Formats: sequence, structure tokens, C-alpha cells
Amino acid sequence: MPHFFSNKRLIILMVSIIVLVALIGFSMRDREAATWPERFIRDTVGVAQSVFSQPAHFAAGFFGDIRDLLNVYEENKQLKAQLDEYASLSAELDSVKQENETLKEMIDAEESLTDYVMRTALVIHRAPDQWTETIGINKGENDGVKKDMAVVTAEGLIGKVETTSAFTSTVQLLSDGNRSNRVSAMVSTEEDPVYAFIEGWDEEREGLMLRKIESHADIEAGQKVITSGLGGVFPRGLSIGEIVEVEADEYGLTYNALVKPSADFYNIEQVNVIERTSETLDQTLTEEPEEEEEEEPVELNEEDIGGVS
Amino acid sequence: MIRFALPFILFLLFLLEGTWFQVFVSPSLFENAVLVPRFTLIAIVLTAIFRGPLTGVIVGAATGLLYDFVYTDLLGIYMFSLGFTAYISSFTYHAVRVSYAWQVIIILGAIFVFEWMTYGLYYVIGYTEIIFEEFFIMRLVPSWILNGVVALFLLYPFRTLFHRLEEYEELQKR
Repeated sequence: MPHFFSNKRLIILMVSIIVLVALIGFSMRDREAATWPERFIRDTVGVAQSVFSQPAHFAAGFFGDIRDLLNVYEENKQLKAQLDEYASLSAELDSVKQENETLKEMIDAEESLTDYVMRTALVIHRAPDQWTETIGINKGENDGVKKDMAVVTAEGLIGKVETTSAFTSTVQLLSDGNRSNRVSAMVSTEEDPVYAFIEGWDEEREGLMLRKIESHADIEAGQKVITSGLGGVFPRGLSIGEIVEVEADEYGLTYNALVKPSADFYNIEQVNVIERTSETLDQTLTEEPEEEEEEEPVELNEEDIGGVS
Repeated sequence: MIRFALPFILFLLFLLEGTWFQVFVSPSLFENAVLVPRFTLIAIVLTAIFRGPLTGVIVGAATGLLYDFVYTDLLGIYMFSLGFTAYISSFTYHAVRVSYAWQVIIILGAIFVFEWMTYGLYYVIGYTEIIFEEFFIMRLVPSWILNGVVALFLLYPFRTLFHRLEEYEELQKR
């Protein structure tokens, strides 16, 4: 290093450290949208990434297929066994659906938290430095993707849209360690559903942490965890995973549970971006006060429940 | 045409890190190691060695900015770390330019500085809570092995490229 650290270079170093701190400070704020250079670069690079990732997925899929071929026989046996179960289940589902329809008609509910539209997108990149767990998809604002929408694979919820540009968007996976990464979830028990939050990823035990479970709730391993739809952006009923372990939290007031995610956070090729069609938490809450005109309509929005999605 | 070869190759390596590497080398394959490809870093260090500190810093900062824009929501971390690493690894001696061994040693040193810097910045900001030993075993050592092997494959093509570039520039001067 013959040229190392003369006066002029020290000044340049200082200036660049100041610029670094300023840039980090600027981007650490909870930004609503990315700045235009970011969006422009993301779109441009996104095109090249699409070109690159498609043959890669194709090749990876090909090798995956070969592996699958080897255990086709075993799988076939299993599936045949499941098929009978499926027939009875689908009959049951039909009748339940019909019943649901008639019940909905009876109470004049047109929208429910479970309604959503789905957009299919391809994964074009994954952040290589695994400090943050994000993936890029090839659908953006022009296709109607907005910040905070739920992203799922066929198996279940994987994350939410973090930033968008015109043709691409970034998805923050549930396994990302960021503190703002929270999902309002519920556990379907035999009695009332139990509400809690999915917060963060347990590195050691490889699972999601379900926190703030009420202490009198009846939670045990094996129960299914789904989204509650109470957060404002996610629809109700997207599968998240299954409870593996339950333990008291550090203060002993609530319970924490370790959830084994139903979706694979690696090897993702295609995802669905989900837009909830029902706008408010509960339609009846906003409609009822119309009769008494003096009262403001009660609207539950994100802030009331802590900005959780 | 050869003037555009370096940016083009850098961009190609940059794309490979995020697309092909992530598809073919699935992170779930290795339980106790985090494999992070740093192919662009290798190319930037070689650029700094063969083309001098100024070119190295410019190329490094530009690639870092691209990295920040595309892969992270935080700006500045990669731009600063890549630029700085390019600067301190710009050993422009003739002895280094002709010796593969020196280049590999410098690249490994640069990987250490770079990984340590990004880890430090993420730690300060609060994105990660892992301690240094864990970082060393889970990230740095795998990164050395992976990128060291990749560097061995990249050394010869890059040296040829920089020689061509020099010949081209000589021709331009006449």
C-alpha cells in the first residue's frame, strides 16, 4: 500500500464515511416507496435477471424431476391411499361451501376477510448475502402489486411485498430477521380461534416464532396456524404452518410457540401475490352507524391494532 | 469493444450471484454454513490490482451501489465496503501482477475485510445479532473456501483480459 492514507486521502475517507452514515440514515427510515433511481435500476436489472433465472429454474426443475422419478412408486402408493380420503373430503367441502353461501345470504354479508385475488409471479432473484431474506419477483406496480400484500406458494404463506417498482417487487420472507416483520396469525383450536403474532425466525431450531399467545389459550403441538386477516392487508385463512413446541415467554405472562412453516422458503420458483378484496376489518362496523348520523363511523384501521399486517 | 468487456463481465457476475447461484446452490443444503458468493468482489480486487486504485474504487463503488439498489433496502453499505476494499487491496506492484499466489492471498484478505465490514455495519444497525465467533465460523470460513476456489478459476481469464486492455491502450496512444 504505497499510497495509503495521505492527508488528502484521509479527507476523502472522512467524507465518504459521512456520506455512508447519511445514506444509511436516509434508508433506515420507514420509507413509503423507493426513490426513482432505485426503481429504475431495479426494473432494468430485473429484465436481465428474468432472462437469467428462467433457464436456471428450468434446469433445476429438470434435475428435480429426475430425482422425483426415482421415488415415483412409493409416492404413488401413498397418493392412492390419500385419494379415498380426498373424495370424502371434497364432498364435505361442497356441502360446507353451500351452507356457507346460504348463511352469508342470510346475514347479507357480501364480502369476507377470506376473499382475495391472486397474481402469479416468477422469482427472479434472491438476495445473495443472507443478512436479509428477500426475493425479487417479476410483477410490479404495473400489474397491481402493492406494498404489504401477502405472498404465498402452493404450500402456504412465505412473506409480504416489501418494496415495489414498475415491473418488479421485493418480497420479505417470513424468515427475515427484521423487527418490523410481523404477521397477525391465529391458531385454529377446537374452541375459539386463538390470535397471536408471527414474529421472527428461530435460527437454532429452524422455525417461525409465534408470540403473544394468551396464557389461558388451549395450544398444543400439531395445531395449524393460519393468517387471521386482522392486520389489514392479508386475507384470512392463508396457511402458515404447524405448531411444534409451546413454551412460556421470558416474563411468564404469555406463551410462545415454535411453528414449522408449511412452505419451503428455499427453492422457490413461482409465487402468488394476494390482494385482499375486502377493504375494512368488518363490514358491519362501518355500516351500522349510518342510522345515527351524529356518530363518526367506527373504522378499524392498521394503527388501531399496531400496524401489523 | 474490449473497453466494455470489464463492465459487462462484472454485471454478468453480479447477476450470477443473485440468480444462478441461488437456484443451483440452495441455502438449505448446508446447515451450519452460510455460503455467500462474492464473485464481483474478486473481479473488483483484480481490477484494483491491474488497473490502479482509482479505477478500482470507481468500479467497486458503482457495483456496490447496484448491489444496494437491487438486493438490499439499505443504501450505502455495499457501496462503501466495496469501494474501501478495492482501495486497500490495490497493490499495483509488478511482483503482484505476475504472481497468482499473491493475487489469491490479496483476494482472501479482501474477502475478510469486506465480510467483516458488512457484518460490522449490519451489527451496528441492528439487522443481525450473531456474535463474531459465529460469524467467523458460519460465514467467513465458508466464504473463503467458496470464493477462493472461484477465484482460482477467474485469475487466468482476468489476467488475459487486462493484458488485452493494456495492448489496446498502447495501440490507441500511437
